[in-house]
Amino acid sequence: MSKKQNLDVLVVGGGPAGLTCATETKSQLNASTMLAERAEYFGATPQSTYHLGFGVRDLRRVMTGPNYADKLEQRARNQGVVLKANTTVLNWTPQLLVDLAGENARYEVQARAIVLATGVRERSRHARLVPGDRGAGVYTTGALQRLVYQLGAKVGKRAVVVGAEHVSFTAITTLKHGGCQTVALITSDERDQTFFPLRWFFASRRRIPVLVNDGIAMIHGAQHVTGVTLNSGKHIECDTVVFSGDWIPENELARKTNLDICAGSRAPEVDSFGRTRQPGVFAIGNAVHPAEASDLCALNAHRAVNAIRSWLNDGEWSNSAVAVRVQSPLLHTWPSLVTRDDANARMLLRVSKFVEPHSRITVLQAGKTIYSTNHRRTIVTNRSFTLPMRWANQVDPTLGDVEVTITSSV
Amino acid sequence: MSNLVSDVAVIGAGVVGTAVARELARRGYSVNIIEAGNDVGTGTSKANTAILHTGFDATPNTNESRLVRQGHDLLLEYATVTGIAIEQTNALMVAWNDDQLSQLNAVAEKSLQNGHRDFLQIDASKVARLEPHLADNALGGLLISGEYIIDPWSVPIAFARDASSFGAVFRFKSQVLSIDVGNEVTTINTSSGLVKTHFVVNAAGLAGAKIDEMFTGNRFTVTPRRGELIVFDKFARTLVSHIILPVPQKHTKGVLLTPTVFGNLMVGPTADDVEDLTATGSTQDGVARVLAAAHRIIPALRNEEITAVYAGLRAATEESDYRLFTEQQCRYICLGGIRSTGLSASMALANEACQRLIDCGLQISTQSVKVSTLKMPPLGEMQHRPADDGQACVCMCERVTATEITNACNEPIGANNLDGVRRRTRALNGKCQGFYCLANVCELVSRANAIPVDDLLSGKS
Repeated sequence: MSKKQNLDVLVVGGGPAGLTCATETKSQLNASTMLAERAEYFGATPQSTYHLGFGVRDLRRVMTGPNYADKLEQRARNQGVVLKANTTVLNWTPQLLVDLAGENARYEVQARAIVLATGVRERSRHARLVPGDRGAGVYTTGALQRLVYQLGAKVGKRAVVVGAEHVSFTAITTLKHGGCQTVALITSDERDQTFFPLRWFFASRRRIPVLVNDGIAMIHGAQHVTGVTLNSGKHIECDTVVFSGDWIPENELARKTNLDICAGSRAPEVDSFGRTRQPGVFAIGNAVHPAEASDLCALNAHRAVNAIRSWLNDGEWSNSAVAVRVQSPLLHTWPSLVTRDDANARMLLRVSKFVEPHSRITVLQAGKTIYSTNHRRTIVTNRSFTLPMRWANQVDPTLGDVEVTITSSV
Repeated sequence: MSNLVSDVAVIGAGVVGTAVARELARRGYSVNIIEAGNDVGTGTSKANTAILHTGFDATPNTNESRLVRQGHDLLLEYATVTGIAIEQTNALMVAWNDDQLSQLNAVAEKSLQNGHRDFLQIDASKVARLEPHLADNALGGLLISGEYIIDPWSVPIAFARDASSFGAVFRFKSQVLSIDVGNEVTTINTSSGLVKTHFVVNAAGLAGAKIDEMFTGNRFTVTPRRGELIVFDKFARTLVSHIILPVPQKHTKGVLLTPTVFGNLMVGPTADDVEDLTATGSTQDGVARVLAAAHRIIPALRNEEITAVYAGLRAATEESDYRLFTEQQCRYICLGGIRSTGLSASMALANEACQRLIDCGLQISTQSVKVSTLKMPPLGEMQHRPADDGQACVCMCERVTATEITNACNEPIGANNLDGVRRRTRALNGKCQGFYCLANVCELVSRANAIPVDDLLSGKS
């Protein structure tokens, strides 16, 4: 272990949120900023997502994933952020002493603030407990994208995609690029979870069915996948199975210093500025809201910069945050901690099942309703709906957790 | 090649077959190893509970009891010398009801009979002190010293590398079709050609009964016993420090929890007899049972992610003991019916096989015993690994470098497919199961072996 380095801000993770946050802390606060990315490249998932639609809300243009990722990296470089690729944070203390390994060295950094922007991954077939043979041909969308676009690999001829959210539909195009036809999408929900035009573009016009209220009961094929049996008893012949969505935050570092973890999302608890309950420790991006579009990750990173400023300048850390608790069918929210400062944020909420239009969303504290609204539209699974947080003004830090509920209109 | 007659042919390159081949080659015999799979340790050896047993709970006065006990010390030394990851965790057998509590005495008695005195009966409060995350309804336990966790995949690979360096010849993708026992020479007809040999050792695991029948007619049958296992993510490892054993039930040892040397927590196995020798798939019911047991024993596991689910087959026969036979007339040794303790007993079985071969007429070698200088790559979580010095990782969950992957392909008995790389490096075995690194690992393996990526992905290689 060699020399110890002192830093204002260490950002962990070089995806859209991490790159944006590092760029802004360097440019707005002129704080010494280092970004550690464990992969050999920056930009994370967008770097291997070759469709249009990136950068809309943050950079106000329409780009492909790799272009967007390169652009964010370039901006960070131009601002003078120290970008470290191939660098892993091995451990860290609540005093923000960080043990890193990378570029053939092992070293320590003493930071004044740490920003966890460690991202998300899709749960594998194993993590979803899908039984059966272990033959080749089972992927997550992330693995599939890199195989097809990075290596030009041919993956198979007939694929079944598990999931019917946005990413599941884009997998159809990726599979096609890899020489593979999609024979069906399967979702355990009552219908797909994407927008009509996307469903038409990716699936309907190719007559690819979305099988609803179903899931894979068994994967067959010891050497290579030969087919799947569904819970409904239906058998589909295929040589490829793609598991999409079902995101889990990369929470290893958060858990290493015992940050509070939100039960629903498995993400560290944060307010809308990315503040955890540990002074100096922030968490942003899809590591805290699994999983939103990359431009939203970047926008929320901008919010964190304000809180990093107050922390670096004034040592200000609100300990008045209360936790947000949810009840079924709500799964989790971002932010999962609330202070009065959050009043100008929009909360992101996710549900475990479809909720009919005109449901009532209620925010309570100590049994008292502090906000209530009629939600006019259907609430869809695997996609966030938002709630303005003006009610945060009325949150009393002494009264304990805030509770959010949905009651169906019928 | 087929004109040369080897001293011994070993059928099966699992942990037992490779141990036997290594021991014979070390003593200067010429050895052929015939393996139906495309790598060492692809049958029963690849899916076990990765424990180096003392054999304290074996049935006394059996082959298994004797060989596990001998094998334990031999493998402990071998693993230490070659750098195979191994950790002493000891085991804690936990009683959850009065019936089980009263059975602990019988287990202790058995342990004494097996010559293992290093155990301690403890009460519920001591159990809770040793394992604070255990469900709070434990009534007592038996603490057994001398139990280790070990990297189960590196063991047959190390044996095979040693054997190969001592001159043994491996023939993969060679299924035994028929065997012709001559007066002096036995000819084994395999799917890749004829192998001529003087002596034969049957270490074919699940196919052991089939091979045995080719020599002596129907003596025993193998009914594959499926064991399903769940591997939890690294955070679960902090929840236990011992191997947590159930009190043995009538039919099986039951589900155990064990830390792994790779820093995970493994739970299993189930024990279900199946018909099919290739039924290595997991089942909805089996996984549910293992998971329920895991949650019952350590409630905090409900909040932990699962890294992998897999199933393995053990070669169960009509009897619980190993089926060891010597047929002097046909110069043949059978090492059959070795279920879950093969890893622990492997090196003792190797010595046993040598002795039995000599009894059959194999001439005692006059050569000096060859010495290995083999060093296995450090794969254990507690070992110092290349990534710890800041080398770039390709597989980030398990922190595996490109050099480690390339070496695993290029070294003797190297990996020529993705599963081989998994077992030799840990790459792809982490929590993301290839979400991040599958493409990069494929690229490295493809380049090192000159195999197209598409063939790696299709499982053809």
